[in-house]
Amino acid sequence: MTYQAEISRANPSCFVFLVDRSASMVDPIGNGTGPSSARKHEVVADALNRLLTEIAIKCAKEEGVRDYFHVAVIGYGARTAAPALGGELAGRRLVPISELAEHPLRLEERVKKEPDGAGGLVEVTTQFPVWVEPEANGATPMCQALTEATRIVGDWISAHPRGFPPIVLNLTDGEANDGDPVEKAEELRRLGTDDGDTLLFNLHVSDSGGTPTTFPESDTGLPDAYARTLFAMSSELPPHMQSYARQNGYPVGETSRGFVYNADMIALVQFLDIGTRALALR
Amino acid sequence: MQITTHHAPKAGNTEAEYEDAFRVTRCGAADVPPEGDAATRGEGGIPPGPAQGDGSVRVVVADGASESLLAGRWARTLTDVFAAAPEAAYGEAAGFAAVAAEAADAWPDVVAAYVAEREERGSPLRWYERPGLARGAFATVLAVAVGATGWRAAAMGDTCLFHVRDGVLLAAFPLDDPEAFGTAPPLLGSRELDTALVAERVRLASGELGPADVLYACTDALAAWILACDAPPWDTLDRAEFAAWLDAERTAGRMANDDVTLVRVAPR
Repeated sequence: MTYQAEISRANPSCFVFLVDRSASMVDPIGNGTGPSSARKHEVVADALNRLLTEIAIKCAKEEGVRDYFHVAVIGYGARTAAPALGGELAGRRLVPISELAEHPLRLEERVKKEPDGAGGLVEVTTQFPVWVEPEANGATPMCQALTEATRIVGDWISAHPRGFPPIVLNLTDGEANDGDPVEKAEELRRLGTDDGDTLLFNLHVSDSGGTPTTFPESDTGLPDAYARTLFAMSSELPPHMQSYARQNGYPVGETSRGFVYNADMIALVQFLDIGTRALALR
Repeated sequence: MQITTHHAPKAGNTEAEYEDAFRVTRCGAADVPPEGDAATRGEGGIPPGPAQGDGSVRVVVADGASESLLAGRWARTLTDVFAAAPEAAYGEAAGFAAVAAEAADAWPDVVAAYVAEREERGSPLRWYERPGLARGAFATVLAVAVGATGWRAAAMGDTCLFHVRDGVLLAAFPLDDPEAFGTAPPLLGSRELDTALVAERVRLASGELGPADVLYACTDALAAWILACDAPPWDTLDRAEFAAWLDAERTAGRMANDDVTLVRVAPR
């Protein structure tokens, strides 16, 4: 059985986020014709900040965040792939999630509407941490980024050979221009622990339009070559993640891949087991 | 009645991070002094000493969900409230749900006291704690009333009761299959508790006790281990060096690494 290893402070796992910061990311998602005029680099930065937030909250206990995960954030653009965290975490490759939680660049106040318990909605102010700012500059060295991820994951696996395999999540518009990322992705996915191969997932933000897609089983219906390439690079969801995806309402099959097109992947955090889940009776 | 308790935090965790809770109470009397490790734990203020008396006994075991904040405090709140609850909490769905609601009613004061204590010592809540506190805490509960001739039990979740006679398992409740355990058991939440749904989902059971019968109440990792055993495990559980045995089972990968609580009741 694979992907069954305990995730704990004694046996942590690792996340590597690859963030496309190339010039093309400044374009609006959906070609500017849809309901959203948000730009790709803003969408990606927001998605990454929300993922990091969810991971920190998942690991939070009273008195602090437990280091069930170590996290790397690699930005790629302007011909380089380099650590993208700022402030006190600037230049760091892998950071324990507790340190990450303590050092966002800033905390924003955001207002959201929540049920008031009496059938209505009430506005609630919440704190939203920001670690990564939107950035768009230069070329798209995705192969360099995948090579950097391979280096980080390789080091991690050497130190944690029996742990839950690392998860690499690439957030991009897919327009790699430093070679064939499929080959680099294969090299990365081949690295593994006793518990399974490294998981490479892709979050594709695109201005090509088409239907938002989450965890597809095939590339049929994907709108362009970039989407099909990213689909081909993505790992299949392990069985336990498929099971959680179904519980969360996603119509996944046995060959569904960790790929989304113009959709969010926040549910991924809920696919990870760190103990008994805090779920209300249903 | 002879009562023995054992508990241990998940390997790698500290005693303060143990998030199960247990409480043993004799109806109409002070807490039953059990044998075992309850004195070191201090759960429910149970003092050490030999078992005494032959009155009916209540055993409440709760397991705080590790993904929720203040899960251990919620488990302790539940064991306290159930231990003091009317008899109906142990045998009737509506009675169980009413007591769960009573515990949820007590919860805001527990949280307020915790927040105030954090403020007082200069360690106010951090941004990553607030969403979890807003969602509330979650725990399983197993409540067992043991009389001279029988037992009644109510359960939400995967904390289990085993009724054993002459080394033979007569009843396993509420789960009887090691494959039925997982990371999402039904739980009692500390807020917005739906009493109708709790009453619908609570499991009830009862049994008659023979002269040499033994009851074991335990949290999920040990319960799953018991159900997966090929040979009767009861002599193993009765051994004195429980902690060392537990370490060995965890290390060998035969038991999930989780908080463990065991309460053994030999009614006669």
